[in-house]
Amino acid sequence: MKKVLIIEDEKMVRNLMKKKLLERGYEVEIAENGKIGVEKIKEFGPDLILLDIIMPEMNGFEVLRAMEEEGLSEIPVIIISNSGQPVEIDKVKEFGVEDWIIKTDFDPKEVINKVISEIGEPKNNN
Amino acid sequence: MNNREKENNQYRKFESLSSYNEELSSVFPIPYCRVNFLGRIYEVNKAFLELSGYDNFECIGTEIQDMFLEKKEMEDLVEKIKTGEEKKKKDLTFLTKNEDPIPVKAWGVKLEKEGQLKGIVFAFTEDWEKRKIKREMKAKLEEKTEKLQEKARQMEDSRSALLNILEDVDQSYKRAERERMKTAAIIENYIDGMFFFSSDNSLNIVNPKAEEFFDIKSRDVKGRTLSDLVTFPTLKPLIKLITDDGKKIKDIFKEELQLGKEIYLEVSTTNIKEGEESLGTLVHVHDISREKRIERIKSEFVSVAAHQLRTPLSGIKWTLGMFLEESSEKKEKLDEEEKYLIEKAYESNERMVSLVNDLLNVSRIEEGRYVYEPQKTDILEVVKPIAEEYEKIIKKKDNLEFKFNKVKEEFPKVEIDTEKIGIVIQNFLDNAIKYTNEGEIILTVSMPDEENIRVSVQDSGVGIPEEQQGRLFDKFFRAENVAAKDVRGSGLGLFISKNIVEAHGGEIDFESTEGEGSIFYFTLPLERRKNED
Repeated sequence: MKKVLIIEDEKMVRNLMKKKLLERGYEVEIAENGKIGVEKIKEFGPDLILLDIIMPEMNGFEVLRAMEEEGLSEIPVIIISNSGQPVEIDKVKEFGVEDWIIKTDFDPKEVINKVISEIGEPKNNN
Repeated sequence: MNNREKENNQYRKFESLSSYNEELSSVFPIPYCRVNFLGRIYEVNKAFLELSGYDNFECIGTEIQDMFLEKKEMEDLVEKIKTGEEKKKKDLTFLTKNEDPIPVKAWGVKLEKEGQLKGIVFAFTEDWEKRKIKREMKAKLEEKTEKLQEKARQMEDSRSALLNILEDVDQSYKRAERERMKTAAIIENYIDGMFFFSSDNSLNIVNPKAEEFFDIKSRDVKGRTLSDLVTFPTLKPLIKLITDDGKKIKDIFKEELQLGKEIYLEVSTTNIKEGEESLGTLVHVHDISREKRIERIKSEFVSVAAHQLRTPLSGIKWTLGMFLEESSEKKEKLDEEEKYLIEKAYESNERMVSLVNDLLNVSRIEEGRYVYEPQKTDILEVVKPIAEEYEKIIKKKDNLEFKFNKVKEEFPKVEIDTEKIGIVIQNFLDNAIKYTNEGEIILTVSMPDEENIRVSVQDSGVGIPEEQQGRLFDKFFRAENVAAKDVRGSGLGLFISKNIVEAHGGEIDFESTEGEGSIFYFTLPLERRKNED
């Protein structure tokens, strides 16, 4: 079973995404800030991370830096953020992250499609 | 007559002879004089006095030779006449009282009485020939003197003219020096950094601000060439920026150079020419750290604002979206009215989302950071999905038809940022739908010539009043005929579209007649012109 970790401070988005991904058949963990997020990455070992940028305690950039320091950069990341300045997009590209989803421009369904195109269907182990 | 009478008569005769003689001598035009046997003058005539300039008393008793330039010769002449050896003429030079030399011929005759020497009579005739020559010589001399004096005057004039010139030169020099000092003071105190490289690429001028920016001392770097300067660690980044190979300075304009963490400089080079000749290159360094800081703060602000504005909107969007989706997929159906209201709320929220997106885009355009990622693309790949999406939307409206008209099946690829060009086409179509109640909307892709691709959207809508057409691409501008009615719009769409098209090196324009409709179009060049970025 493919595992997805959602690191997002906004409860509604977090829960909605969780609901959608569970319905689709993924195993899902959530974290409400970056700090908890980094711990969950280590515990849970996700196949994909949906990562918000602007969060309390530890923001998305700091999470990416921590992952790099812990040698966890191999895990694919999709940024889901309502910010999205060109400088910010450039910044995450430095960590090898290419996908940046602006929440207002996407439906949850489209996010699911992104997840599938990134790691495949939940039961497909390739 | 008796003897006494005879004697008296004779005496009278004698007397009258003497006075006759005297009269005669006084009118005799040739100067003459008598000298005694010692050579002393004892009688002169009037002509002699006139010639000599002496008076009678001065003459009498004077030795004759003293009146001549050639004294010795005159003395000899007197002796020779006395001894009878010579009695005729001799060329001599008479000296007047004024010491004026007059060439004369002296004629001497010995006077004897009863075999005894009584004296000599000298007559003098002027040597006219010689005198003439002398006079001419004198005249010539005077003429020459005059000329020389003229020359001297001229030289004096030239000398004073020269002095004047020298004075002018001196003044100009002082003026130039003052100007130089002024220029030097300007460079010294200029708020930006300045380097001036001579045409041989050696550093000629460094001002204090440049010293400060690069932590160098003018005395250490002045006169050094580019290849020397690159060895200064603080100067290395600058030299690298302004040269290709470290040897020759290239033309750059407002290139950014980051020095420390917070220090940003803007560097420009200017080739300084005098006529055709290059004097060297000015490197101008402007501190933009403050602008950079403000830019960063603004960017952070926009980022937070975007986040703050979008977060509630995304919450609404996703929630309403979920309701609508579940109602169509699952059993718990919403009734018609509920569904209608949720759809309307969803649409309103979408408009809010696009308004926020527009505002963010405008803010990026104004920062000059509306980043484009151009890729060689088939324009139909961009247009087709949009055409399909809008066909569905337009079909839902009564009395309105949509046509997608591609002039060719295949177009040459064009370098575009597909997302941004998509925004322009959507803007055109959104406007057409908003302002057209009935008729048709035609989307056309064509090639007006070999070098350009054109996309146009034609509608049969309200049109734009002629007097307002000039302002249509201004930010926040909305035409009166639509602003008055309750048709929603931010007035930003066309402003953004214009920026996008122009950033691609293309052109955007429209034609419109109020009450009949409008056609909006843009063209994109297949080959970007070089100086456009």
